[in-house]
Amino acid sequence: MNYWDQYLLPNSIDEALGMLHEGKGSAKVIAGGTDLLLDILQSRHPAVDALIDITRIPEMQVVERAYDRIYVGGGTTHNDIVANPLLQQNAHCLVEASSLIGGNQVRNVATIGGNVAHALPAGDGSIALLALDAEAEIASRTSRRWIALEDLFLGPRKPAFEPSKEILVRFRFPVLKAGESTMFQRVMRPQGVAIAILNMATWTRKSVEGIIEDIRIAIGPAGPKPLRARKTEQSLRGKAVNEGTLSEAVEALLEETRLRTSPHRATRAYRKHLLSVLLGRQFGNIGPQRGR
Amino acid sequence: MRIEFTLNGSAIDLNVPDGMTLLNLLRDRLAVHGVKHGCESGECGACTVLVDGVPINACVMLAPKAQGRDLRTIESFGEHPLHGWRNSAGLHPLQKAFIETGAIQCGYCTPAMVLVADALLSKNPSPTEAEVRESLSGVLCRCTGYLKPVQAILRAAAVLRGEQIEEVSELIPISPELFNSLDFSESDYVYGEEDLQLQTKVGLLPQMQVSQDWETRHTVGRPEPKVDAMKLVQGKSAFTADIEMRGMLTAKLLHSPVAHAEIRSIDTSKALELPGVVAVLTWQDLPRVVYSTAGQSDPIPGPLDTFSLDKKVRFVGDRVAFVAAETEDIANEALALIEVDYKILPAFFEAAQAMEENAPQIHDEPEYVDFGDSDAKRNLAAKIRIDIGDVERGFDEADHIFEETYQVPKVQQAHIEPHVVVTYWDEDDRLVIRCSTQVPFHVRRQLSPVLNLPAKRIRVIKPRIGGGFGGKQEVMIEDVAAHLTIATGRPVRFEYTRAEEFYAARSRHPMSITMKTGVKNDGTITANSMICLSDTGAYGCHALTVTGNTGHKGMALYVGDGKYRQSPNIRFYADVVYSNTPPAGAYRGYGVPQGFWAVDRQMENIARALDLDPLEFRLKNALRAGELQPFSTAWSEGREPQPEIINTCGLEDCVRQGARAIGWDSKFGVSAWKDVPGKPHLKRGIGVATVMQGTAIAYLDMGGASIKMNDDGSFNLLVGATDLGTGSDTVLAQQAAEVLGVPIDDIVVYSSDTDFTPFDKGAYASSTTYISGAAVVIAAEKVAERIRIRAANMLMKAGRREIGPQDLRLSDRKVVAPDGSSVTLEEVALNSLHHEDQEQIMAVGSYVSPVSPPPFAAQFAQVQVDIETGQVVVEKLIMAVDAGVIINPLTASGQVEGGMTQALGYGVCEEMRYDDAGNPREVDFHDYHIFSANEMPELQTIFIETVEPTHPFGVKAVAEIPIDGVAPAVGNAVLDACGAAVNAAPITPERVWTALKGSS
Repeated sequence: MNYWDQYLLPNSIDEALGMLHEGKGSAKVIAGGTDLLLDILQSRHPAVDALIDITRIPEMQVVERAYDRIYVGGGTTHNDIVANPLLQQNAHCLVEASSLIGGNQVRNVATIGGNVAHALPAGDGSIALLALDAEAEIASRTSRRWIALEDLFLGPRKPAFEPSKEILVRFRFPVLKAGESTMFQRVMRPQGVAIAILNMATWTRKSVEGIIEDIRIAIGPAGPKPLRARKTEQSLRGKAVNEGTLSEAVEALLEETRLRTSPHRATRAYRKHLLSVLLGRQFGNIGPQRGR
Repeated sequence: MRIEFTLNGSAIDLNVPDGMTLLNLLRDRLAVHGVKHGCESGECGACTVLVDGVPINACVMLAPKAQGRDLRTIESFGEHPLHGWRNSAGLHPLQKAFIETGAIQCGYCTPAMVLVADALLSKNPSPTEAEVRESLSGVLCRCTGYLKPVQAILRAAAVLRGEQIEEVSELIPISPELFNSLDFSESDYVYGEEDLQLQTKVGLLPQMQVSQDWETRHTVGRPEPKVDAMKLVQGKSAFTADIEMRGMLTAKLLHSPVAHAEIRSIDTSKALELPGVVAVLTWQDLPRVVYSTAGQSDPIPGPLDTFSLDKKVRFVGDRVAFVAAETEDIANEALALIEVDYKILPAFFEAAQAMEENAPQIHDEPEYVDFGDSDAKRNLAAKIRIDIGDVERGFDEADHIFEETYQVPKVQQAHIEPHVVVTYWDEDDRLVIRCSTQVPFHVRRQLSPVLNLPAKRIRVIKPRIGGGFGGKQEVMIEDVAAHLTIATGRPVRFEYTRAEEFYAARSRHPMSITMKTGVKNDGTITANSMICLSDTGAYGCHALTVTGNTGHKGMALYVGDGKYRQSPNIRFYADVVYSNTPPAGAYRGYGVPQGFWAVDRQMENIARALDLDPLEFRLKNALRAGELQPFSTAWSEGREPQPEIINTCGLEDCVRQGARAIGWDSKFGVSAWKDVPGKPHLKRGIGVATVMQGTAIAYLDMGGASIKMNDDGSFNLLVGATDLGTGSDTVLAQQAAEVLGVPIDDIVVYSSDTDFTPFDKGAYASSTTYISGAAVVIAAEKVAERIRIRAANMLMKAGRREIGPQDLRLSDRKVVAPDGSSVTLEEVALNSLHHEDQEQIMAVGSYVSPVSPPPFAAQFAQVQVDIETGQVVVEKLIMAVDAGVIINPLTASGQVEGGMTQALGYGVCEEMRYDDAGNPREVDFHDYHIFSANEMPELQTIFIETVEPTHPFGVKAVAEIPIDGVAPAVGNAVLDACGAAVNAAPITPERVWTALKGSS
């Protein structure tokens, strides 16, 4: 059985885009390949003419700070993120989320770009980047553009760019400033890192007095795509955290999330309950239950 | 495409097919067999390879990605230190440490563990335990519980740093008194910390209360390294799939996509037209022979209800057709080309529906052969009705009646090596079946009619096995390859994928169990009843015997006190029914874990309701030495029962020492301890479960052994016993070496080959150390006797005074007379083989036991419950076990650690479920989670030795009992922590949350 005819190793984005163009829709970008390979071999993905391996493109590997932004190449592996001091300092939620993905060997290969491009409603990387207010740079043969992460997902497994013509090159998000912090929480089956019941990432800026000046909350799975809980954010902005504001926030959160019962994982009622617990913990002094 | 890379220092330059994974390239093209196949989705880590020093999973890496990289596998590490005249550097320190610490059980994941450890240590020479566990987290191990591998890596790190390391070799025995004075407080454990603080403090060896004769022995009771560890740690081609043969075909199985249907027609023509397809077999091609896949002694104690291929399918995943092709890809493509017309039949997936009025009949084939009370018309695979004493009168005499229903899930054995078989015709036209099995002799006997080939024309070889846990006590896929070899004349390899392991292998029977117990005010149990509904799935393999064991062991432990102790009132009724789900079968514990989930949760509820001390209440009513095993006169797997007295029972000491070790008195009922300072949402709890198992099946299980003496005074030990990673080859060699007065090195073990070794019923029912061990001792004593007779003659000829064989003893590779004179075993061997009155000193022994002495254990668990989310974190598991005399503390504690870990999954996260159409929800290690190294609680093993008089060294079983107590102990601990009574395992966060909602 021929899954593809060519396996290509371009050295630059332009070269890779050229290969995609030549493939006329039947070429496919592969990064870590841990998911794509399974999809093709198990016939969940149609056979392609060419696989374009972008993991040797230097631009895809860079993690750097330029002015007030952090840039993370789409080819950065999860373990590279976990070990990166710049990200540890500026993107705690992304580091935490990356450390929970797969097993150790998978984290050595699987990339953040791949995780996001899959457009899963609870992709750990996507949830964390959403809270960081990240943007993704999409390159086509004619141009490059930045898309806010929130606009990058159309639905489950449907990213807002054309994988047969375009490449997700890198992400960027603001550096962390004084008073700002990020957090990632996950509730899962006992002691197992495998089955996430609910993921939540937050970014907050608090005043010295403890007033929430600004906040971003990302949740999954809470609908067809990773969710920015904007109504909840709005209900918290400008307020001090107390029982009253929290319960208002929980109400807003329940209103804007679409939770459903998943026979694999948890009922809607339980997820609803967890949402309020996780949100409460985001602001209380209690840390998340250790899960690993 | 063409790729170039470096493999273990050598340049490789070759063309690879475009779809090839690195795993297939390394194993199938380059014969690098140290890289193992355990799954196809990067979850188990058995296929780990270092790429530029970084561990990756070869099964999810495309071969072209290796372009220009530097690859390393286990084959680049050390080797055996003895290589003749060539100097050898020997093993790598990591490999040595894995052997010394007992970190290797089946050895299937060992190469991966060594590689990830090497990657860690090259970056970080002084890792913490947490870092070691994190590095191991991507390598799933189902045998060890990870404790010993972690210790091995920490030990190797110290060696590599140049530090002095203590020898593992000597165990310090502990008398009961001394044992009591030891401080087992867990002072260095900080509660409520975010990170797991684990067991580096635990010594390499388990704590032991040893029996009297311990000091007089030279190898029995010592932590000898496993005899097969050397090859396993090198990743040698020792497993079933590690074989290459010219012209070998790959087999694939077409599985049913529907839960219940008749096959109207099958069209294989398109598949056969595909180039590279050599054979396609359907039910029309095979003789119609009804049989049971359960690997058991003759006669099979269960219904015969299975065909190699049938015209009916009974679950999603059932067999439809076999394909043999030149490559795996072609075989898979051929499967898609087979056209099947199914006549869909109504199906059901819940045991409770099986006996309803209009339930579809799953087995309506006329060939069906009943066993006992099976009744295919009612979907009843087995039925058990046992009444001991007068249960109703017992209830009448009680002050309180407790009644409750408990559920246990269907779970998977999840051995990392899948089922795999290679078949071929040898040069004598005999069919060789090389397979990963626990029952090689049963495979030969049971397949003979199925293949229409006399047993004498079949040879079954069992190489090293990558774990079985009961999953391979099944003649499950051997027939597929065998039929295809018969059809094509060519060698055939057939290996399950991980998904097939989930939807088309075996599992633990799910059960719904109703307990009813009568108790007096003082805590005396007056009657105990268990009504059990067990789901065997679509076929009845092990249906009767597994569920029988649920009562036979689970309901035997609590006999009551006072007059009830003399004459207990016990009821055990069970219906074992068919459903349209994958068959259940044998899984370590064999029905007993199900029983103790119900029995022990019930005991806990009673103790709490009557405000009785849970330890004292259990011991008050528990079986004691000198008493009758109550079921021994009532039931014996469908055979004639024979009364059996319990000779040894260390349960009271187990409870005492286990309680001491976990700090029971300072925690149980102490509300200050339950709170976690500063974290009001966390509650701690502690729980216990007491359990028993059996040791072999009395009057049935037989093991054989032969011992042959060689020129140099070494011995070949040939056993039919089947080491599936447990270490049985090692403990059998130790028993032979003890009798023969030689180090274990002088025993060359060869196990399980139906042509060469004596019969053994196989590795199940916790029997090998006891049954096969006794056979080894019998053979060794016969050999020792011949040696003494010859040595006596040699000593007399050498001018000594009159000397009788009975005066001589074998010790230190010599035969020693009372006056200190001696001849060496080598001298005896040369004398007997070459010098005078020549003979081959050799003997056969076999053993069958009239009893099945139960091991006993107390399982303790400590948990932390998040009462807002319901998440349970198990912090500590301590098991104190009376398994009789321990032959090897390293391998025995490895059994306990690994068993507790599997049982922990049973308790908190493992579960196989099906949707409304009978499709499995869990088909990989992502959705079916087994514990990884970085999630483990602290594990501790304590052995309380008793001396079982029916075995020459006093052995009882240790293999299965570790899996019996964890789930109920954790359930009891959760109840203790927060009052959540979760009666259905596994104890998921949502179930805890739901129980808390209900109780508040």
